[in-house]
Amino acid sequence: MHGPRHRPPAALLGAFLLAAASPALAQSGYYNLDGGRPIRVEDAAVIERYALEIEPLPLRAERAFGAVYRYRVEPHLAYGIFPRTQVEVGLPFESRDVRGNRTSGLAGVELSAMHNFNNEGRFVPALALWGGTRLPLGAVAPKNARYAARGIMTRTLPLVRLHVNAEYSTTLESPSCDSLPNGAGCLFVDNGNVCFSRAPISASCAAGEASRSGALPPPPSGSIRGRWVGGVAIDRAFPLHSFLLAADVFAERDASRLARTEWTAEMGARFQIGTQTSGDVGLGRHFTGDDRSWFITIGLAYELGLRPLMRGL
Amino acid sequence: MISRVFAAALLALAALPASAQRRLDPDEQQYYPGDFNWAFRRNYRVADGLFNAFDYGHSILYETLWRRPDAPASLLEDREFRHVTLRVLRNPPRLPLAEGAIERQYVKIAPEAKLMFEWAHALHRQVYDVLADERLSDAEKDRLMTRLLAYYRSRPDLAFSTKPKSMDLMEGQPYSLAFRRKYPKFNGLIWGYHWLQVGLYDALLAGSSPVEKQRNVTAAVGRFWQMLESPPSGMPRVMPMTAAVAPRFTARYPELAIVFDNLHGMHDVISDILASPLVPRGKKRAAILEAGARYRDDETFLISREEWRSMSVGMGIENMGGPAVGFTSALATPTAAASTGHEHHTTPATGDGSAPPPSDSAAVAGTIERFHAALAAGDSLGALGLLAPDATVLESGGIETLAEYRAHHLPADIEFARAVSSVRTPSSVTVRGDAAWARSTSTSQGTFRGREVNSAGVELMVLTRTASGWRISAIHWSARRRQ
Repeated sequence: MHGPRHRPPAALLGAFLLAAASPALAQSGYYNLDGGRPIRVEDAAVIERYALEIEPLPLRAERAFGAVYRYRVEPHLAYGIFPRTQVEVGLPFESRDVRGNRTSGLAGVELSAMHNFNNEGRFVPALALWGGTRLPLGAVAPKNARYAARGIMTRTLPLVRLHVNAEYSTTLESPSCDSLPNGAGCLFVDNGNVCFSRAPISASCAAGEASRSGALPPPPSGSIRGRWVGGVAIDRAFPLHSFLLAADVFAERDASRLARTEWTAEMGARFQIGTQTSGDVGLGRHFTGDDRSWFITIGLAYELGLRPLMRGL
Repeated sequence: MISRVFAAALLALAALPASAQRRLDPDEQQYYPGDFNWAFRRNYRVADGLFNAFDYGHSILYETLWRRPDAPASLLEDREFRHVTLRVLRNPPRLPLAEGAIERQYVKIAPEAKLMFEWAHALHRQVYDVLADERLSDAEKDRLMTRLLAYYRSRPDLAFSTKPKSMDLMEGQPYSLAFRRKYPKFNGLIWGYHWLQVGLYDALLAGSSPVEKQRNVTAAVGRFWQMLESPPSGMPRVMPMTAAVAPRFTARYPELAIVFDNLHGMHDVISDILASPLVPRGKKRAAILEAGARYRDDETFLISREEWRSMSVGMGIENMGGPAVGFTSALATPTAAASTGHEHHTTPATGDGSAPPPSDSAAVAGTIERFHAALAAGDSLGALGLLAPDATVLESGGIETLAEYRAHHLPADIEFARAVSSVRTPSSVTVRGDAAWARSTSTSQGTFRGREVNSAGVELMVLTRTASGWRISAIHWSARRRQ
């Protein structure tokens, strides 16, 4: 119905399996939710001071409307540079397959920092602030840099933990657009997500401008385009098994009065594989808007200390 | 413009840590890196698994004490004890636990204390790793231990002091002994944990070959299981002290041994604070933070290393679960009564679980023995708990009521008992109804407050039967210098 099944490029899959089979070196953080691993809403914890966290090949595979597939691998490093503060760098590689037409390449360079303000107390939740940018570097990167700031709150309840994220991001232009064959619509990448518009290709879309769902006129080039994301997650740990279940729901909306709110729900698990290795799997669905895609994520992470990165050793 | 705004925001984020470091709110830090890490886990999987299970026991204890303050003692003594000993310890977690996922509510009242424990537990485990790594020479192990300790001490907001602390810090506070009195079995379990945790250091050090180390570790783990067979009688009756249970380790790494004793002391203190009704719920955090600060500082409640060693040995290895290396098949016979102050815990259990009533004279002698053991251990509350409310104490030409004795002579008696070695003859007991008297003699030799002591003494105690058992109503001590 949707054409032949598409699989991740063999090289990516092979690299992933190779990483999975390598000796356990990875992080012990099954209990801490990282953004996108496996759900987008994250907790207010940062990695330990002087710890280096490596996520070699976290994979996200997405199937959108009309046999559109996207595979994304984002090698990621995080380092606990100061007390309660981590800095991160990510290099997302992406392969988009639109009815057999494949485009692959670097999808930008992500730089970010996160600071946790406090340990959770009896009356005060744990609070953190995240700030980051995606630089427009690479063959399939957005045309302009995106900047984002996110407030994060975590509260531990008797049975579950509750996490709340609120993010505002902004970029100078509308996202770039890939036209689908036969005038079927427009595919564009927005803040790391594949988005799809059923609208006939307009002149602006063909020129690289996308209108979301075809319902709105494309924003004029050079204007500031803001976007809100708000989400809530709960997780439940099974500590004797070093296993965590998590689920979230989040809403996204362009900072325009006419824009529609888009909803996504995810669920997933994190689990400890070795003393330093953790893994995660997740499943999600964009369930409003034209872009009602399904996606899965799978990842490994490891955490280690490196003496040269530790001050005073 | 946008890029400049966000660049400024990122710079502000980077600048935050300077203020964060000035705060008292501590943060987590990566453990010292090295190839030796996880060597113990690789080479001694059974013991390593038990340590994972121990983390669960500590965490569920604090969580239960905090969340269920009014629960009957049976919740911990029966239900959780059975769960821990029959399920968690027998099928231990494969990996170290995220304790915050277990002590979910407790950790919010004092996250600082949790981080202190985690920091010390990381050191604990790394010391096993160094000792278990057969690739390292003895000199390399010593150098690594020095580095590990320095790295540990680089976090004064988290690190326990390397100076020994007086038992008063653990047993002389208003809340002291609350936990062990209400939960003697779970307390014995925790002390059993601590016995194995420090005992394995000597098990590793005493082995001259990998095979011998394996044998020692296996034997110590077996002895731990043996302690659990008849709780709480087979369990330690006083806190296992590293200097007594692991003398080889203490001789080689005294500062590490002190850190671990302070760590285990604070474990007990937090249990007492959480269990004690004398500390209101709203003040438990402050009490825990105060105890943590005392265990970290190098100024308060100090005793010398010699006093610490002497106290550790004086408390009796037989009361701590026995030695961890070279023991016989039978459990050590304790000389101290169970430290709960409850008579029924001093008597051996029968096959059907009931306790036979001891003879009156044995019970009287037991109360007197416990009184002296409490003095020797610096357990002032334990000693006072054995005195009747109307007790009088006659010594040094004066008569004191209980309150006067507590304020005046008791501290000196404790100091004397801990500083001077005394040998007492068994008490000769006479019982008349609900009253009894006991006499004994003793010789004491040592140094007390800078002067030599060499004396012969006599003791007469009068006891009365109460609902709680025999209690001391009068004491008369006198002594003369020996020739």
